[in-house]
This record gives sequence, C-alpha cells and structure tokens, in this order.
Amino acid sequence: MTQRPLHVVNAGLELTDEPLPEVPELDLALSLSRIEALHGAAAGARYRHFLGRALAAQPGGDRDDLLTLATLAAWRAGAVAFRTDALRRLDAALATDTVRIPTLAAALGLPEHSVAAFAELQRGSRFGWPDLVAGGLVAVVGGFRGLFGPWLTPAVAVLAGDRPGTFLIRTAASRSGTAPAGADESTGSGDAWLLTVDVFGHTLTRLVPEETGSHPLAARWAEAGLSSSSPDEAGAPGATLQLAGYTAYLRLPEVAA
Amino acid sequence: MAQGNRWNKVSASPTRTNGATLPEELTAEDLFTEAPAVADTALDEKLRQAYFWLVNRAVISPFYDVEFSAGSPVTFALGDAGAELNLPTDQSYSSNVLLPLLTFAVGGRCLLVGGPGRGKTTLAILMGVLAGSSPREVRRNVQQGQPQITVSDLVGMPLPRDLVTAGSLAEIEIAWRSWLTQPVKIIDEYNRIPTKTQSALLTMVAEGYVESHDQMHSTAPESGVESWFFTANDDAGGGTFPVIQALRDRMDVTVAAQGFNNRFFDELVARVEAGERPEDHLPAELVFGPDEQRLLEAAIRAVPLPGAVRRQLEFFASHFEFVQQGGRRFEYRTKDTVRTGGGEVAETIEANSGADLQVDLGSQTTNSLSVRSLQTLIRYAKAMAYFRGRPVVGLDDLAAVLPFALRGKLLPNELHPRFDVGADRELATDSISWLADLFAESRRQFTALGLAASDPISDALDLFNQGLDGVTSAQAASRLTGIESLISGIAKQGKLYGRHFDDLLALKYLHQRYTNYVSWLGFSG
Repeated sequence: MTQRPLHVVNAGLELTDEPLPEVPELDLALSLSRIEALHGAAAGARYRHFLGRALAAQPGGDRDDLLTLATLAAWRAGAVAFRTDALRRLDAALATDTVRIPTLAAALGLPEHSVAAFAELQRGSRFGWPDLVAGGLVAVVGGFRGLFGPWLTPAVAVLAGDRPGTFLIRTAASRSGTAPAGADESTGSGDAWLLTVDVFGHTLTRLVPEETGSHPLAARWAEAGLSSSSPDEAGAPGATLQLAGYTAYLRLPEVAA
Repeated sequence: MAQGNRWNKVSASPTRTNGATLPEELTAEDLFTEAPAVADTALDEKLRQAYFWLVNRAVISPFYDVEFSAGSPVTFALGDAGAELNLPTDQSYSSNVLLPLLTFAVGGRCLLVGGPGRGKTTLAILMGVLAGSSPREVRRNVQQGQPQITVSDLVGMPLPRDLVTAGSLAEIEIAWRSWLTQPVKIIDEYNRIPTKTQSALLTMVAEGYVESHDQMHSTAPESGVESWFFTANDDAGGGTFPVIQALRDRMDVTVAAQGFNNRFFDELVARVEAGERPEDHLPAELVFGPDEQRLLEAAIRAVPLPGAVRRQLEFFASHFEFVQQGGRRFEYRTKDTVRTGGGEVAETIEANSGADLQVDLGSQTTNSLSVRSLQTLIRYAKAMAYFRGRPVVGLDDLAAVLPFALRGKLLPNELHPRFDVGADRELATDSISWLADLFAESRRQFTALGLAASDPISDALDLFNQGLDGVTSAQAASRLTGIESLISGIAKQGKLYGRHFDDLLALKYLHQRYTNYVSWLGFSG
C-alpha cells in the first residue's frame, strides 16, 4: 500500500492560522514566501504556525533574536537546510538566555521542559526528538505520483549516503520499457534519487543522469538492497530506511541489547 | 474588434526552474534574502520568454515533440500499429518553433519544410522581428524563390553610369541589395531558385560575402551574428530546380512545419476577425539588440561539453564511416571510398556477411557524418543546454537536437532489412524518429559494452596526451606492446564494426607516434 509522505513529529499537529506581525527589523512575509518556494504551501503553513506562536510568546526582541526564532521555525517546518544554523542558534540562546525558554519551546513545538533535552538529542542525531522511541517510525517518504508522491514506479534499491541523513534510492524502470531521452542508463534502468532527511522534514530530488553516473555511490548499486542505515552525527548507526513498493519508511535504530 | 492587448503577454520569470538544486545548507540570512531572481538581462531567460510568446501567442502550435522528462514519462499505447503517446514530466518544446529560435541564437541556418500555408514564412519573419527589424522591413526583404530569379536580382547590380564610364572592373560600383546585411535573412522556396543563382547563394551562406563584377560585399550585420532561414515545400530533392548538394549541406537544422490542430480554431477565427498578424505585435521587451545577439551567441559557445557526453557522441559518430568490403587496404574500407569510386554503398553493405546488420548501426546509412555536421551538432546541443538553463550540455540536450541537425545529412540505406520489412518500415520516411532511435541504440550499445566504466583506448590516448617528456625507451616499448595487445584483442573478436574502425586507426596512430619516439630516442642516444 502506498502512503502519503509524513513526519511523525507533525502527527496530530493542529495548525493555527497565526498572523505574522509586522516588525521593523525583518520582512517576515518574505521569509514565508522563501519557505513556500523551497518546500511548498504545507511547510509554509507550519512555518507561520511556529513563528507566529513564538513571536506571540515574546513580542519585541532585537534583530538577532528574531533571526533565531525564524530559523528555528523554518527548521521545525521541515526546511532541512536550516538545521545546522538553527541548532547553533538554539545552543547560543540556551547558553546566553537571550531568548526565553517558552519562546524557544513555541518555535519548536515542544513542551518547555523538553527544549534542553531536545538540543542534547540533536547533537547526537538529527532524528533526536523527546517522544520518539528506539525502533520507532520517524517519517514516510516517497509515494506514488498519482497520490502526491514523486514516483511512477516502485523504489527497488537504497544505499546510505555519504553524509548523515542522506540516502540514494533507485526506482524501477518504466513499465512501458521506454526510457525518456535523458533516462539514466548507467545504472541499467530506473531513476536515482537523493533523499536528505531529518526529524522535521526531507527533500527528495532526482539525480540527473550526469550526476548519477559520476556519483561516488553509483558503483555500489550492486550491493544495494531494500533497506539501509545512514550513520548519525556521532558516526554510530543511525536511522534505517526500509523500501516497500512506492513507500519508504524511516525508523530509528533499535537499542543495542 | 481590435484585440491588440492579447499579444502583449510575456511569460513571467522564471520560465524555467531547475528544481533539483536545493541548497544543502542555509542560514537565517537566507530566509530574508530575495531568491536569486532571474535578472531582467539574463539572455537565456529572455530567449525562453521569446519562445513561450512565439509558441503561446504567435504560432498556433500545440506540438511538444522535443520531449524532456525528469523520470519516466507516462506512456499510452494507442491503436494497433505500435503508436505511443508520451506525457513528458519536464518542460518540453515544439521543434518547429524551438529549432528556428536556436538558429537565431547561434547564428545558424535553418531549413523549414512542409506543405504550403503551414506558417514557415511567418515563423522566419518573426525571427527577423526578434532581431530588431520592423515587420514591414523583414517582409520586404524576404527573397522569394522563383525560376527566373537571377544573381543580380539577389545581390544587386552595377550602377549603369559605371558600366559606361569605368576603365576597369575595380571602378564599377555595385548597388548592393539591402537584405544582404540584415541579421536574419529569409529565402522563401529555395528549391525554386535556378542552379546558377543557388551557387551565388552558396557563397553567401558558406563564406559570408557576395561577389559581383570583381567587387566583394560582406553579409555580416552590425552584431556579427547572422542567421538564415530557408523554406521549401519538399525536402526530398523535389521543386522546380534540384537543390545543389553543397547548399543543402549548409543547412544546420531541418525542421518540419507541422499541420494545424483543428481544436485551436477559435484562435484562427479571432485572427481572421481582427485582421492581425503576429509579427506586428511582438512585445518590444523580447527584441534582441545587436549587443545582445553577440552576447547570446558567445554565451552559447561557452557552455561546456562534458567528457562523458563527448565520448557518447564520438561513439555514435564512429559507427558510420566503415564498410567491410569498401576497399582493400584497411584505411580505405569506407563508404566514401565506395561512393567516390563510383560504387553503390548499399550494395557493398549488403555484400558484408560478416557483421550482424541488426547490431551494426553503420549498415543503416549510406554515408557518414561530416565534420561540419558534427560541429553543427555540438553548437546546437550547447544552444539547447543554454536554452534550458543547464550549466553543461547533457545527453538529453544532445539527443534532442541530433535528429534535426542530421536530417538530410545522414542518409538511410533503403536496402537495409530494417526499412524493407517489419515494424520499422515507417522509419524510411520518418527520418526524425529514425535518427532519434539510432542515437538511442548507440547509447544502449555504449552502456552494454561498459565503455563508461572502462575504455582502454581512451586511456591510451590520454596517457599519450600527457606528453612524452621523460618517457624512457623501455616505457615506450611497454606502451607499444600494450597497443599491439589492444589491436590483437579486437582482432580476436572476429566481427568488425564501425566503432572498431576508429579505435584501430587511433591505435595505429599511437603506435606510429611511439615508434617514431623510440627511434628518435635511439638516434639521440
């Protein structure tokens, strides 16, 4: 069965239509349009939700405080590329107390008492989240194109990427057997996709044939299977991606016995 | 009722997004910085806007035959004769608009073929207006091919005063025709022009100048970039006069003007009622000035052709020169030897019982690719990549332009079983599909032979290209042995194909260079 993409941390999230206030220091509407352009309207709605609630919890603040809250909200909304900067700003805010804990908690959608624990978990793994348990589901990615996913054919092979939170996925060749002009022939068949994922969001981009052919992992397709583990930030075994037809399930590692 | 405003809509930027380039890392400041917008002056963006205006406003052309797909397209099998309809997933284009536009951008020569009334001349006129000329001026400068047209009609004539008073040819002043220096030159129905006048045209097209009464006149416009558009109702040699082969060979691309889709009748009715012509309504912001034309052409030439793509093109081109029984000496076993010697290439191919005609792509053609054709192919592949906003030429860019650049240049061998019987008979007349299939099959063979991963002949050439400085006699001798071993490996395969011909001649070249080097080392002590 194919499933729509989701991240477990967003399950049950009731988005409020938070108005973004006008602040003289920054153009918040512009930041919203950037998130929507990068990750779509759903991520934009989450960004508005988390940033609106954070600003409501602590009106005012200087430009740097606002940048911190906007970056945390962007990351929390699913914009993976902001993780490094958001985490650095979170650590700085916790260390200097420039932004109050309730405000940070609102920006991240966490209870106040979990903010410090969350920061500690994230230092070890990008999938750290207080409510996630070992072996638990983190995210569902992929999906059939007719049901809001990117794939026309099932995913058939996965390899761990060269960076934490990255996977290389190959989908099956077209059922019609006809390859488009630019189809990747270096892998024999199908298309190659790069998944970049963390606890809040993911990007799934098709590698163009020139990239696939020269990709350092391309030579490893032969050893690819239906599941693979990507190392975490500390170099330990991280989350595992399991392929099942059109859908890929990302789970936390089991606790070592 | 006048409907002028409907022409003014120009596609909003960006007309193309390369979505696969999400940045790996972003910072807070990136949230509050405008996305790198496409600058107003970005010429590739302007070129795309021109394309979309042409295809959506000017030419009623709902054909998307230049297909690109990010991933696999949805394909429907239709009818009972093997027809397939693809729904591409990436931005795809109408060849009869895109190829003329790329011709305008690179300063090339485009032949538009198709029955009367299919918009060939209108499209060519639109290219002239894009280059900054007024519609009236462009229309006036269209050269109508007809059986009585003379060289003087085409290029101009000497002043009658000078014909009487001049003491020598050098003193005769020529009244050159003004169309000669237009950035876009249009020759309508060129297959109705007499042979002698075609020869004068050839000089202009090939050399960029005209000559009359010992006087020369450059046809280069202010920008230095000139493009030519020829139209013909027939691409198979018909017409009032046969087109001389040298002129036909100068056509960089050949594009068919497609028929009218009757589902778009409302637009046709609107034009009749409004009495409008698209060339009179080209938005001013889409016009390319002389400097822009120069920059555009230079930017296209600068798009890199990656080694992996170049190697695929080399492999494709290597299939076509060789023919097993074409001559006695190995170097002369070519289609050119047969043709220039008065033989029949198709019969020579048929006499070859050693190779599998289904696998031997070279056996499907009666000629090989000229260097000019390959240069054209490279130029248009670069133009396609540039138009698509790609930083380098991709295989899909090359595959997209190849059939249009080789149409009429790579000629089918009609005695080949593929064109005689079976499911592929229609390819004998549908040269675009045949050429696209030929390149796709070449790519499949390239993959099947594992040449992307291992290509010892390329390795040997690369090693040699590193230079011979410091190479000892023993090392050179070892390389010579390696070359002989590679030749021996090919010899053991028994069957010989076009791709082996280039490989073997390259190995012979290397062998010569190393042999001479070893001799030189021995001589110099």
